[in-house]
Amino acid sequence: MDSATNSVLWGVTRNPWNPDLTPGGSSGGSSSAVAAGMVPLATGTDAGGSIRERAAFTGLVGLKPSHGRIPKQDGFANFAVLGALTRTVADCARHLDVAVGPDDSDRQSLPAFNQRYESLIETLEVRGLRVRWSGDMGYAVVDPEVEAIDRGAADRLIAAAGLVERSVPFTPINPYRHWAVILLSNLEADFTRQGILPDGSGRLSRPVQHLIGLMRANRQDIDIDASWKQLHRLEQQVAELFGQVDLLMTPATTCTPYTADALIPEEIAGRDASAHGAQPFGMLANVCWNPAISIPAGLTAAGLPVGLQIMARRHRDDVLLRLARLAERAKPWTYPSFDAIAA
Amino acid sequence: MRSATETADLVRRGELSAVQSVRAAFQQIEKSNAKLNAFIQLDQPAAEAAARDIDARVARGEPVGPLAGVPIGVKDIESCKGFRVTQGSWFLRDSPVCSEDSRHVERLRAADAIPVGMTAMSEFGMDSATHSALWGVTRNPWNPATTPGGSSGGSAAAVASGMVPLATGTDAGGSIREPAAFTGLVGLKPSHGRIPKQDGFSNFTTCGVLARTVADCARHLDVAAGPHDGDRQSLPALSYKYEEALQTLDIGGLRVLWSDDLGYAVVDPEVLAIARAAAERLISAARLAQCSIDFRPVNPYTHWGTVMLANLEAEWTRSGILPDGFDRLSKPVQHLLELVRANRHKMDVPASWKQLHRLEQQMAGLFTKCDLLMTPATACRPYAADGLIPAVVDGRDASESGAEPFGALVNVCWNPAISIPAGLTADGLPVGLQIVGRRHREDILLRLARIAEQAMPWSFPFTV
Repeated sequence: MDSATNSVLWGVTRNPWNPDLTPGGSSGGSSSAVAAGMVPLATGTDAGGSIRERAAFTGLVGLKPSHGRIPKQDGFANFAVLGALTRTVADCARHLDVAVGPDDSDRQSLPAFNQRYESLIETLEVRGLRVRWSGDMGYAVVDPEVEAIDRGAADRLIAAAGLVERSVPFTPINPYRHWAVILLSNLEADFTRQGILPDGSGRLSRPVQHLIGLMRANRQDIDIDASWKQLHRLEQQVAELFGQVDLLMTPATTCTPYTADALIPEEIAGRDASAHGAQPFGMLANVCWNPAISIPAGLTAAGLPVGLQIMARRHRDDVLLRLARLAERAKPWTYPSFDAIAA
Repeated sequence: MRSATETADLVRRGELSAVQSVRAAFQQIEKSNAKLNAFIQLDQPAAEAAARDIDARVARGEPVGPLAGVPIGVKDIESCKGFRVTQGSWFLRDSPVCSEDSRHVERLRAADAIPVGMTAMSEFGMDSATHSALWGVTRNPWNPATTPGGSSGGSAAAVASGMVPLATGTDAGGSIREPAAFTGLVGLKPSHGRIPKQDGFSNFTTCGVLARTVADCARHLDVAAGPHDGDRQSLPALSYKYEEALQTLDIGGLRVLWSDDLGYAVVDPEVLAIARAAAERLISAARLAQCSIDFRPVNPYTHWGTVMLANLEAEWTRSGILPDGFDRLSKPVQHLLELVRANRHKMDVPASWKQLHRLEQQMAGLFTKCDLLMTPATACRPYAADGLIPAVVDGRDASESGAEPFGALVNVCWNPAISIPAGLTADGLPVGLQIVGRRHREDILLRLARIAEQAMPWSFPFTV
């Protein structure tokens, strides 16, 4: 329930690139562990960007597979998928080869995939695929340095992979608020039923308390049916886009990693960002069940990693991994020695 | 009546004109629709124009599709160019004429099928029979005093009576399979996501078709299946054709569980005996291995109903149907609304969702031990054409299971399931056998249906 990782039970999780900053959330522990070289691979879940934002904030590869690619405990999720955070594209592909496949207990799980992602990252033909770049989707406020680094990385990848850029019209609705309304509108009722509220409020982590406060303050404006309608609209808008192009590239986040124990920034580059927060490009893929990946795009002047997000047509996780591999080869990413963290 | 595959293959070879095919359909419609009320809107000039276009393409040597010249019915819930969609409701009587096809109909038309009209359905799909305040009573060609089932009852009556070889259906709890069972047809509910819908947010509903032959059912699925960007639930493309799998798939040795009642259903003993005998013949003909597992899943009937209907009153108040329109609702829907009102205080939506989640895991457990589940397709034989869902079956209380207690299971769990003709009751009414497969394995169900069709061919021995 946060774009950072900072809980009452386990404390503050920090970014190995700069321990004052967050590695992102909710899979922040995973991204720190992989980026710092503790383990080469850590699992993540992604219901609105939780794998991809983490990957972006720590310079990792983070794939949100197509919905249903990796089976969950049941098949009733609207947005959440499982995945992994890795340093290399080959690791990401091998993880997916191991984890994918149908399971009778998840009705959303996709049929078996009869090829190996690990081979496809070296062989899949992607030349000529059409790509739409969007710096802000028409609704987000993005740190100009982040956007410039991402546009540069997108240009390099388009050239290296032989993609064709198309500037087709695409002005999707901003899903941030609607997605949150659907996920959180019953939060108070659910927490009350589970016995967390009313007495446990003080035991909840600060970002979660903040969210509950927000939901209480805005209850009169919440219309779940209307929000569902907007997400249905988004599905059709994204379908229309993918009728014209094969790929969508955006920044993975709107900002650089922020303070480790802070709340989601409401202001970016001096402008109001409260309508979308740190990862407004994330939930598009969760709502529409498309695969999306964040790959390292470069570093800011302050030496912080920035991620490029690539989203593909549904079930084309292979295309994303192949592109990530081409990017990795064209401009390899590296990790500084993080020994200083231990000190 | 020619089957869809026969018609299309003749039209493609130039041996039958699509115009003749359409005219034959309208002759049968002319003959029996007044009695059966299967079609509620028809457009012969538009159908003949489409047929002439196909004939012209054949004459020019141009390719035509795998359903070339096949007249089809479209259920009154799917958009179809030139017709209104009313969902059997007085409240939608003035809905605009469609300028576009649904994604499903679009694919059928692209395969050169010819929609001739819209078929009747129960109002908003909320009944196991088909009689609405707007369009009246739809009847079963096997015995016009009885119902062809619902909600896709018009499509079932149209195909069983030989008006058209294929008519579309939708199935959210049995609405393709129960009408198929009641009219002696093949009715496949595909895996969820196999045929794209208008969006990808449905929990239970799939599209499909009612057919007389298994080959027609398979060809329809070959045409209709495949992913669509606008339906997030739609499944990836297949690398094989169902029409081929139907003839060649090796299924010997698959393990099957037969269940009389899943531990909760009240079933007419004659229906049960007929379905069970058909299952035994099929198990033997297909060389399946029978297993004995104590499978007692959650009875989804009430929970599925709760999830779908708990907010009905609020929704209908918002949409303006209530409070003033109660008298304009069809009788079965009034009855349902009264039931919801009487039981609203007992309906706990999160608790019912939990039970459906449990059911998903119970089904998953079953399919680790076997490959197929066979049950009767319905709890009862076709009942009165204008009647309500029987609350008593075989003298026992059936209010917790109704006419189609084996239906919702697969809608909840997204498995494919098919109803095939199992035989006739002593008074000559058809009974269906339901086969449920593992998710994504429609090919197995169609292969089994084909083996059944060869081992115990069905026919339509009546004139309407």
